[in-house]
Amino acid sequence: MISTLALALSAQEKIEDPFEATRVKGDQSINIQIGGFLPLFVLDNTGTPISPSNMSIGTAFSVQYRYMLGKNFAIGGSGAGSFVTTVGGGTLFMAPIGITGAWIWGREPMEYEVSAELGMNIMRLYGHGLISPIAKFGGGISRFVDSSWTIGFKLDWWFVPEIHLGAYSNLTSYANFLEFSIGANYHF
Amino acid sequence: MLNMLNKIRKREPKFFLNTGTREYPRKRICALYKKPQNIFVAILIILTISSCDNTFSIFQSIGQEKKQLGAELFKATTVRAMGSDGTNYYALMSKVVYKPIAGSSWQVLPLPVGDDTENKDIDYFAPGLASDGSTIFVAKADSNNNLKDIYSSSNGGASWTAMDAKKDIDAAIGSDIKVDWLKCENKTLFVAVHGSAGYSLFYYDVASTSFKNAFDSTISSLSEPLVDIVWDGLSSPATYWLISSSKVYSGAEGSIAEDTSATNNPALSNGLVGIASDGAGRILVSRSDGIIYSYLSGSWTNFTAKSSTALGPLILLNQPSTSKRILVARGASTLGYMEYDEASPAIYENGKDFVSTSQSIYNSTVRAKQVEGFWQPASDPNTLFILLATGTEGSYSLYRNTYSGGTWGGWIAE
Repeated sequence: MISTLALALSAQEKIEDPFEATRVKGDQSINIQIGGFLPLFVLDNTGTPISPSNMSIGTAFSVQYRYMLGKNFAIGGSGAGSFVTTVGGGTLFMAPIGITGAWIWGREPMEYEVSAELGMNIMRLYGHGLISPIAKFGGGISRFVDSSWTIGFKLDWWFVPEIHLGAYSNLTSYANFLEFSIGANYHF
Repeated sequence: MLNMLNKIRKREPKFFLNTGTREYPRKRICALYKKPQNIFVAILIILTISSCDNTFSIFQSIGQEKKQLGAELFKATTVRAMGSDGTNYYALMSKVVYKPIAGSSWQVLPLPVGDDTENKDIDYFAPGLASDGSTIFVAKADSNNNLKDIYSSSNGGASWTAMDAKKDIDAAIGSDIKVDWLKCENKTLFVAVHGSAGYSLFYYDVASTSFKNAFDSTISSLSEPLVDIVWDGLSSPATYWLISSSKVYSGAEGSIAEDTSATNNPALSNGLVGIASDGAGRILVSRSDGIIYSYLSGSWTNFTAKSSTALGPLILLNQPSTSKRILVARGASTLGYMEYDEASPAIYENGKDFVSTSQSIYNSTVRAKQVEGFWQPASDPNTLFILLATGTEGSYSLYRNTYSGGTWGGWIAE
């Protein structure tokens, strides 16, 4: 009786198993991530590390839209925000927006991805604002929990070149951060 | 079987893109929203570009920051006055705190409980603090902020003398007197008070050991608050310069009268915010309209520090001697202070090209805080304090700056 019930439940699970690892062109998804934000290192305009970076671990969040161009490749756009506090008591806010490309593959029920993103980054510290380019490179792993939703974990490297021009080119510096986050994907 | 189910899932309605239920086709929707989108994007671009500062490096500035480890009692508070008796520094918040000049630990200074000056405790409210370099004076008030007395000490608070201020001042202008501030200039103690009659200034007459009206006989009180008083530094005759929120007054103690200079008089209704002296006869007055007035040898001149910008307290910074600056608080917007170079002339803001500190340290210490005043010990021109009002926890309200090796080291939390 119990074994019959177990078999029935197993069959039910299989019947409701929505996992379809390969997506198809035209599939779309919206992803929301939140997590920690770790300052790694900052280089000055000569490539010398600015030590110490004087930034503490902070918080990051992002929203991303993706459109599948094929069963593995997606493009999309994203907006994000991050906060880190500084040793002097300030708060650095960064808000990048960009276009993203991702290679997605998997085997039911898991899905894996590597992604790259390019965009512009609005930064603000002590009332001073700057717009810089930004590049993100990362990877993630997620799992389908029903036919529309996956949850997962991501790591993203943020490369933030702070570009100054002309007489102030010596102020140029290159900051590097690591975002580690959990999130949810809605597929439609 | 599984493939079949997957095919079924693919056929599930994709409600986000259900074109059958669309009121408008996709192109039409784009057209409908195109104009507002363009406006939004344009506004976004204008806002972001207008906020860009090519002269400020975010990451290099952060890299130059110093961790500020001040005393907990200076967090989220207001420091209103400072003093020194040669042994200790004293700072006034709601109580007086002190520390040895060479020490690092601030403590609350006990005051006499009442007439019995031997019996002291730290449960009090002090509306005023002043020092003349060797003696400190502290006003003590009751729970309604009414003056109880002014006490003096010449041994770091080990023993106190009650000065009977309440008796003298009450007798002159009535009871329930509230102290606005104390100030020692040229070793003379001044007491600014207000009561039902208005705002008054008293000074302590050492000869008669009593408090007397500092104004001439035609002025018993004023209708506007008194802001600050300075000595011009000239000994004969000793002239004090006082500002109310609207007018300038000058004269010797006991005969201070309104300055009636006809040309370039700084008077401005509710517009005078700071006064400073160079100790050699020159007086500076800052106003709420961004103009600084300068008095020297009998006449006033003026210059605009920053047009249409409310100013605050100010100080003449004599170090480095090759690049003297006027440090003047900003009364609104980003608060903090600016540096004005009279030689150029030029105004420096937001810590950039300051002689008093680096931009990075300025940003992480003083910026966005209201400056209550600057203070230098009379005997030490290489030390400068900035007194701040901070409304947020975790932020300090008293910083020290030390001049050494030809430069100011930058603000360090006390």
